[in-house]
Amino acid sequence: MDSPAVPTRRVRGESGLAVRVRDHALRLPLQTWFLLLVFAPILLMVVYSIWRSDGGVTVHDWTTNNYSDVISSPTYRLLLWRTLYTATAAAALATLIAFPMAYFVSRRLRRYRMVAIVLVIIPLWVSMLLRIFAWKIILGDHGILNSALLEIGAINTPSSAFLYTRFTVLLTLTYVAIPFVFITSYSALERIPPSLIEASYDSGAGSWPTFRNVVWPLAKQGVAIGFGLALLLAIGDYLTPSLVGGLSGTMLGSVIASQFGLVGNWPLGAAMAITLLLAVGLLLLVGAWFVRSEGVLEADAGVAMRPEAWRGASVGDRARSAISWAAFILPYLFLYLPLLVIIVFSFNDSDVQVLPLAGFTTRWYDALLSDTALMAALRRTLLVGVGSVAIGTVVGTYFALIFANTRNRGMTILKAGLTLPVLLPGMVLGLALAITFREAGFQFGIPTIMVGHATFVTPVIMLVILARLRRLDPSLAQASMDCGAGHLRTFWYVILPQIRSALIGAALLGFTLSFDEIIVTYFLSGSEPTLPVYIWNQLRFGFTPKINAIFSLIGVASLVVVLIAGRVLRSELRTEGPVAPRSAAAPSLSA
Amino acid sequence: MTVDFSSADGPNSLSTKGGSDGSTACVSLVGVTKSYEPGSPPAVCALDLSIRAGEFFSLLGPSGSGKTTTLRIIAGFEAPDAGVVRLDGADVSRMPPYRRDISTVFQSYALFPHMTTEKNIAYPLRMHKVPKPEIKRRVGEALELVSMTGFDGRLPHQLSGGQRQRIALARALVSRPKVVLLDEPLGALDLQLRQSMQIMLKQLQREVDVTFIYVTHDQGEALAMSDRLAVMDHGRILQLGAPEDVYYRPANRFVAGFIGKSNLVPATIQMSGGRAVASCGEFALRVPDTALPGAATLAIRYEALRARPAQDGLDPSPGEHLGSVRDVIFLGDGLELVVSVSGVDLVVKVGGQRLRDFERGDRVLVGIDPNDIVVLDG
Repeated sequence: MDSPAVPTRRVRGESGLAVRVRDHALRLPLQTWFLLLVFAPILLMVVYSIWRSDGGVTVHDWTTNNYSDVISSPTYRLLLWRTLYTATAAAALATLIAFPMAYFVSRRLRRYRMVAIVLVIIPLWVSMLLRIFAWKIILGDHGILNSALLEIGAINTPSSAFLYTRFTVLLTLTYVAIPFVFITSYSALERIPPSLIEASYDSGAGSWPTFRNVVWPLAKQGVAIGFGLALLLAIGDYLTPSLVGGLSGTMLGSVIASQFGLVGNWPLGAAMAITLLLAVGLLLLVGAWFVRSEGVLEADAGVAMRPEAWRGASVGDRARSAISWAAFILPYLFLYLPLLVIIVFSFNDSDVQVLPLAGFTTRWYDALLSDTALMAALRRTLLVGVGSVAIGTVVGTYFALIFANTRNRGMTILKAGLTLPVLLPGMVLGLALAITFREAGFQFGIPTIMVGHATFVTPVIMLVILARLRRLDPSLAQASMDCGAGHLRTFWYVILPQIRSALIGAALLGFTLSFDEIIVTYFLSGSEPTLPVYIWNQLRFGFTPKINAIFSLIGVASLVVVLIAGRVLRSELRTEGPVAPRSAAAPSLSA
Repeated sequence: MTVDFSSADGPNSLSTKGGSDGSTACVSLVGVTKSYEPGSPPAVCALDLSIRAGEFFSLLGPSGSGKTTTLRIIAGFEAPDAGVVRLDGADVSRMPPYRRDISTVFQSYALFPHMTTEKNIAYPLRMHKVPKPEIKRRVGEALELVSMTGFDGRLPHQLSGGQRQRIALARALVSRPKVVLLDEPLGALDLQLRQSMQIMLKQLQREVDVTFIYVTHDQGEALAMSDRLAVMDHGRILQLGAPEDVYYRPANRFVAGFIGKSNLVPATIQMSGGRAVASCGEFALRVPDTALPGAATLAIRYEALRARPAQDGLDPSPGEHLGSVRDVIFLGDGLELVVSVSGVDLVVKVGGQRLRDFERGDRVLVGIDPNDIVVLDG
């Protein structure tokens, strides 16, 4: 359909063989990256899973005992089942909450649409640890819920029923997953041409038949992708169960992490990770089969969807409208209440985080600066973030340029392979990389964390830039070459200025991912923890409002970065001019 | 969006305003106004329109003239800010589109991409709870009607533009609606396909005997297919009538300039002995005697003017004016001459392939029948 943004085979006088050799040479870095940082770690993890552990030392004897342990042990079976069940339930709950929101935003809002979207996304930019921690403050023995209930006399002694249960785990995982499902659902809904919905009304279908026959079939794949993301996130997360789950909330993720840490049985951990991975893969395949779809959705230059003009007449319409408004507004309270709690208690003049508030203080903030261990962790985090983003930006841009030019089956598979680390449950990736680095004899520390982060930061940056490159007008690069510029100069003078905003956005996204990362980092940090790992270690030994203060600062700092980035991107978009039209015969909007 | 219908909602307005043509009008709009942004000029402004049952009616106008908005108001996708829409005499202004007995053929076709051709066409029947065997029969008939039998298993992306167009048409016709709305349905097709689809559309409309309301910016389409057409600009109807009337008797400068090709010449009309004469600069023209004295604009179609080479010693016959050829444009089936007559440039269309007959600088005699001149105000 569309031709590549940067043509590579236009140099005259080159033999076919030379072109082929050069193409292979250009692709070599991609293949090397994939082999070293994706394929080898997974392969090694598989190998580890059939080795034996002897008192914390890995012995290179082949055995299938790890697998039979995993499969035959009722505890592991229970944990596997519980993990899949809880994660599926959390993903389903998140979908039930986020999809109606997305539907409402795409169909009912016009003016404040962007605001509504950004408000759902903002929590994603606030540390995940913070958001989980907030629930601990709300639901804990001395938490807000308990103190409020004591206050009004509903209970006499603090109840432990709210924290350290499987319900708490489910609640928190759902909370974390909502923004992901929202984004994918919204973009799926947004892609449906308004004229299709009008055509359905026109054919005599009311709201519900239109939803069932037209909207849902066209949106279900996007929703399923969000559901899948939420599922993977919930499965890969061992923080939430450890922090708010207690013993009854233990999931396989925490056990795998502990095989690496406390227990030191890496082979068993690897076997568990692979078992989990296969189970998840199976689950996702079944899911994908359910949402398989026919037909190709094409862009349409129809009039943007307006809120339905005939609505609001009858009592039924009004009731329905009230319900959909509630389904739209309430999740925001759910999303923001915990964040608010953190900030409020960071200024509360008391060691314990209970109601009523004790008075205003900034001492928790003052205490931060004198905490040298914390400051060291912060420096490491920034260093890792900058390093992995630097790697990711250079490598990711290169990869994107190669992929923008070649479309064949092999490259599509390679692209999927490079993207795999983004999709692997966090502790599976962490374990696989830890095994690889250990086998390679690396010292664990900042460099290993940096490379570890680069494995998922790079594909994210690559995908963002690739999407931008695919939208470029291919004739621009051709025009540049026509004017006598070679590949490098064409990239520098013509391509780069046009992808600059995407590049900045991608780098910031990558930095945020790295800055907040803990699950993979935990496996790779050795004795040099980054800030999230350091805080997590602190959290396990109880916490002071100092933690609230650092989280509040991080939250505000991320927001500032995001807002600046948003502003930069917006002004960039204005100067960038129009993008290439999607179809040659885009009919003009009339009347 | 707040909409006030209190003034137009009652039964009174129905009898007083719509009563005169209520018997034959299939669709009627009374005082319909719609603006999208508060404060901005309305997309449609106090529109009165009445469309007869069974006619092929076109809304013709440039981009932004309000024709698509008018169509969307009739379909029910937009509610008018003021005014009433009637379908067979009944007020449907607030009726949702799925209850209106109206079908739309969308500019983008809007075929459901996940449904086969057959399912797309069956969709309106399914929504109207038509029994299964009947659906099957009627889908077959609809496919036959648009000459697409055998394509029932295809998905939309496997069809060409023209084929999608036919399926969209079949979907609009299958539920036997009172009115079919067509929103620039041929806009995305190439010239040849567009012409063959024009013929097909017109034949189809006669065959099924359904009211067609057709929106287009292409005057050729509108003139070729319509029983009547309305020329719109800035949300208002500037002229409404049969294609021939609108073509030969434009009511104002806009219509004269928009439809066909006309010379627009500023002139002053004077009456002398019961005869109307227009003086344009240094020469005078006879114009129809019904013209009113004063400043006016003369609209003269290119093809209404005649030109012949001026030969020495041959006097111009009455009504002919001497001019010189400033430019010759080759059109294929004829020529357009730009002739300067006493300082006024007139374009003359000359039929037939006679490129060698005229050259730049030639002196020609330009003639015109007074009855072919349309006198417009100001």
